[in-house]
Amino acid sequence: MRTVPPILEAQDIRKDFPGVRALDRVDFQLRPGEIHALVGENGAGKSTLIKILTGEYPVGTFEGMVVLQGHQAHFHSVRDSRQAGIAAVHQELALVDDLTVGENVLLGDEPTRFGLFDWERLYEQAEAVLAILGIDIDVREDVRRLGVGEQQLVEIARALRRNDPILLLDEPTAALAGNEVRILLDLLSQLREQGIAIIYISHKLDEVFTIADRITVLRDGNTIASKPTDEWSQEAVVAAMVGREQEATPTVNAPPAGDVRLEVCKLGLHASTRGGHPLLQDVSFTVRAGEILGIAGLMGAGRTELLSTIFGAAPGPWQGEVRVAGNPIALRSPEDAVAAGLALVPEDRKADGLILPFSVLTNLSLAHLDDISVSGVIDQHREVTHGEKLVADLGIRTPSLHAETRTLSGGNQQKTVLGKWLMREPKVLLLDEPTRGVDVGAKDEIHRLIAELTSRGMAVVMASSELPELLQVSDRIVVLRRGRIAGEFTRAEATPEAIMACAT
Amino acid sequence: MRRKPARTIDLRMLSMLGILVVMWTLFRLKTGDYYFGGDSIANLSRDMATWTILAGGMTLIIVAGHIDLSVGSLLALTAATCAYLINDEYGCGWSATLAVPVTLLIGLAIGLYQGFLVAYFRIPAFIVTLAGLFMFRGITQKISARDPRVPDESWVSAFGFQHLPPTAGWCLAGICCAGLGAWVWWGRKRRRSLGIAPGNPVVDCVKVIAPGAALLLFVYKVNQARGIPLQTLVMACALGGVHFIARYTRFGRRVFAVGGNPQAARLSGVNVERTTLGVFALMGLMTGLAGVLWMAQNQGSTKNAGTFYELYAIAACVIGGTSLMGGRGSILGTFLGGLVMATVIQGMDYTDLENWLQLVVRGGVVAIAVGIDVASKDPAPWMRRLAETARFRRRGDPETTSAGD
Repeated sequence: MRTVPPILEAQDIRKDFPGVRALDRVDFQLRPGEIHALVGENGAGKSTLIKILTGEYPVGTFEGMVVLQGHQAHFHSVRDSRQAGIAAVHQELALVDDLTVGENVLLGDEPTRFGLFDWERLYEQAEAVLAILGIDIDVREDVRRLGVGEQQLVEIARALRRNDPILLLDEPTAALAGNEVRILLDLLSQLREQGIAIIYISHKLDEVFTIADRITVLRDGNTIASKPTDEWSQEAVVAAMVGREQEATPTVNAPPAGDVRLEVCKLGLHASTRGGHPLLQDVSFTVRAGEILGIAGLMGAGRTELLSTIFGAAPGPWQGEVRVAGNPIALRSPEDAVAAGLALVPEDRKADGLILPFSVLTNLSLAHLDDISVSGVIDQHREVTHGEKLVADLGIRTPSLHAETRTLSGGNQQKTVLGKWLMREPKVLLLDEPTRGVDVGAKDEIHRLIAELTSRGMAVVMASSELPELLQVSDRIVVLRRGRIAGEFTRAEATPEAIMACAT
Repeated sequence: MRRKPARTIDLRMLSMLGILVVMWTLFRLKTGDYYFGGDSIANLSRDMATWTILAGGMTLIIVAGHIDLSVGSLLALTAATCAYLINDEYGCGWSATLAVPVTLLIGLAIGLYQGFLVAYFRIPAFIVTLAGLFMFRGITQKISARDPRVPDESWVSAFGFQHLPPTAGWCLAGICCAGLGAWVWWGRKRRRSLGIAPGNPVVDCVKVIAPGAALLLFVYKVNQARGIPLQTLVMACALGGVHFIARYTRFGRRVFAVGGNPQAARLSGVNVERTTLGVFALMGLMTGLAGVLWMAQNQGSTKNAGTFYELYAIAACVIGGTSLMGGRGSILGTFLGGLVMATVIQGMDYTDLENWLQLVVRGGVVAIAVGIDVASKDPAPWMRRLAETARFRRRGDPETTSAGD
C-alpha cells in the first residue's frame, strides 16, 4: 500500500477566518483503494479541510497545495472538483425536497430524449443505481416524505452515480439506524475493492475501526497523527482527539424518583397525507422528576414524531392526552407546550433549533423573552447578563455573545439550543438526538449537563439512535417499533442485545 | 443595546451616507445655491414623509418574511375616506378630531384583515396584497369620485404645510440630543451595575454626537427658511416608534425570529401566526397615518393618490439593507434608503429631467443599489472567479495548471 502514490494530497494547508485560524499546517494523503478516516472534535478543522479539498473554498483563499494525481489542483468551485472526480456527501443534506428520489439521484445528469425529459429512462437509471447500492427506496417517491436516514442514502446514491475515483463522506451515518449503517459500511468496502479512494469522517469510532485502513486525527487545525488502523487503539484515538486522557463520564446514581412530571396517555398519530398510515399508536408512558427516559427504536419507528407530538408540533392529526405535573394540557401549538413547562431540543438543530444568522445572545433569549421584558419591552442589559451566565454555565465556546450561531461548531450550537430553554427551568425536557454530529468532548459535556439538570429535578425524555448513548445515560428505556411501544427496560435489564431484539 | 450586526450595519450606513453626500454635492453643483438651502432641505424631508412612513412599516413586513404591495392603494383609500368624512359639501362633514382616528382605525382593520389571511389561511402575502392593490384602488375611485376637498380651517390641514416655529424647533432638537445622551449614559451605568463591561466610550460618544450634530445641522438649515415641516415631525415620530418596536420590544424580536427561521421560532414557543398578524396590523395603522398626511398635504384626495408608493417603500427598505429573505433589516437603514430615494427624485425634479427618464432612473437606482449589496455579501460564482483572476494578475503569478489535468 505504501508504494502506491497518493491520488489526493493536501500539503501544508493553512486557512484563516477573520479572527480564527481554522487550519494550521495540515497534511493529508489519500491513496487509491483505501478508506481513510478523518477524526477530530468539532471545530478541529475537518469540515474546513473538506471544503478546501472540494473547492468550496476556492484556490487563493487558503495557503498550501492540493495535489491531485501528482498535479497541483486549482479548484475554483465545487464544480471543478466534481469534474476532477471528487464526489462528496456532506453532513448537511442537499436534496431538493420537492423532487422525486429518482430526479434527485440524477440531478444534473438527467437523461433526455430529443431535448425532452425522459422520465422512464430517469427512473430506470435511478433504480439501477439504488439497486447496486442495495437501497430499497421507491424512486418515484418525493424526497420530502422520506425520513432523514433514507434521505442520507439517497444523497450517497447521488454522489456515487458516476464512478468517481474519490469519494468523500462527512458523517454519513449520523442519522442512520443500525441496519442502515451496516448496508453503508458493506457498500464502502465493496467500493474499496474497486479501487475507489474514500475519505470517511465520523464521530463514531466503532465504525471507524471496523472499516478504515488508516486514521488521521486533527486537533485545533493541526494534523496530530496519521497511522494505519492496526497501530491505533480507540483510547489512543480519543486521547489524540481531545489532547488529554478521557475521563469516564460519571454515572450518576438514579436519584430517588420524584413525582410524576409527564404522563403520555394513549397517544396516536397519523401521517397528514391523504389516507395517511399511522405513525404512532397507543403510546403511553410516564416520566418522574429527576428521571431520564430513553426512547430507542430503529429509523422510522416514530421517535421524532413522538417528541414532536408531545411538544404540540405533531406532523399530522393525533389523539390522546398529555399531562404535565398532573394537569392535562391543550396541545394546539408549541406555544401551549412551552407555557405548560415543556422544552424541546429538536433533531435538526440548524433547521429547527437555531436562527443561524442571529447571534448567540438572541438565540439564547428567544424562548424566555417574557422573563426579561417589562410590559413588552426587552431589558437588553438583563438579557446580556442572562446570556453571559448561560454561556459560562454551559461552556459554550464562542468568540463573543454577539457572534452569529452559524459560525459555531456543532457541539456549541447544540449547547446553545439547550441553553435557550434553561432560563425557563422547564419541568420536562425533550431531547431528540441531543448529540448527533457532536464530537466526543462536547458529547460528554452534554451528557453531564443532562445529568445535572435531572439532579435539579427536571424530567428528561431522550430519543437517540445511538444505543450506547441511551444505555449510558437513561434510567429507563422505552423501545418503539413501528409506532408502538415494544418494550420497556430498567437500567439493570437494558442490554444492547435485548433492546435490538425488541426493536426489530 | 449593541448587537452583533452593529459593525456590519455601520459600514453599510457609512457607505450610504457617502453616496448621499456625493449626490448632494453633484446636485448642488448642477442646480446652484437654492439646492441644499433651507427650503430645499425642508421640502426634501417633507416630500419623503408619506412613503417613508410606509417604508417603516414595510421594513417589519419584509423582516418577517412577507411583502405588502397594497400600501399605495391603501394610502389612497384612507386618504379618500378621511377627506370624504371631513368634507362638508357632499361628504359626511365630520370634524377632523373624529375623522382622523376613524381613518386610522380603518387602516388598522384592513391591515388586520390582510394579516389574518396571510397568517391563518396561509395565503402568500404577495397574493393577498396584490389583490388588495386592486381592490383598495377600486374602492378609492368610488369614494373620491368627486375629489373631496378638505377645508383649510380644519386642524388636520395644518399638517400639510405648517412649520414648527424656529424657537420650538431648537428646543425640540435640544431635548432630543439631551435625551439621546442621557439614554446612552444610563445604559453604561446600568451595564456597570449589572457587572457587564460597558461598550467602548469613544463609540458611545460618536453614537451621541453624530446623530446629534446631524439633527442640529438640519434644524439650523430649515430654520433659515420656515422651520421644521410638521409632516417631517410626524414621520420622525412614526419612524422612531417603529425603530423602538423593532429593536427594543419582545414583539419586534419575535418578528425578526419569525423572518429568520419560522420553524425554529415556532419551536421556541413563538406564536408565528399572531406575530404575522401584528406586523400587518402595524402596517395598516402606519398606512392610515400616511394616508391622513397625504390628504393634509394635498388638501383632499384624488383617485391617483399614492401611485407607486408601495414601490418607493420597498425600494427604501432594500436600499437600506433589509433582506427580502427575511430576518435582517433596520429602521435606520430604511430611513437612509428613503433619503437616497427622495434625493434622487427631488434632484431629478430640479434638473428638469423628462418624466419618462425619471422613472427609468428611479428603477435603475434600486437595481444598482441592491445589486451592489448582493455582490458584496453573496457574490455569484462568476464574480468570485473574476475577482480571483484579477488578484492573480495583480500578484503576477499566472495560473499554470487548471483543475483536473
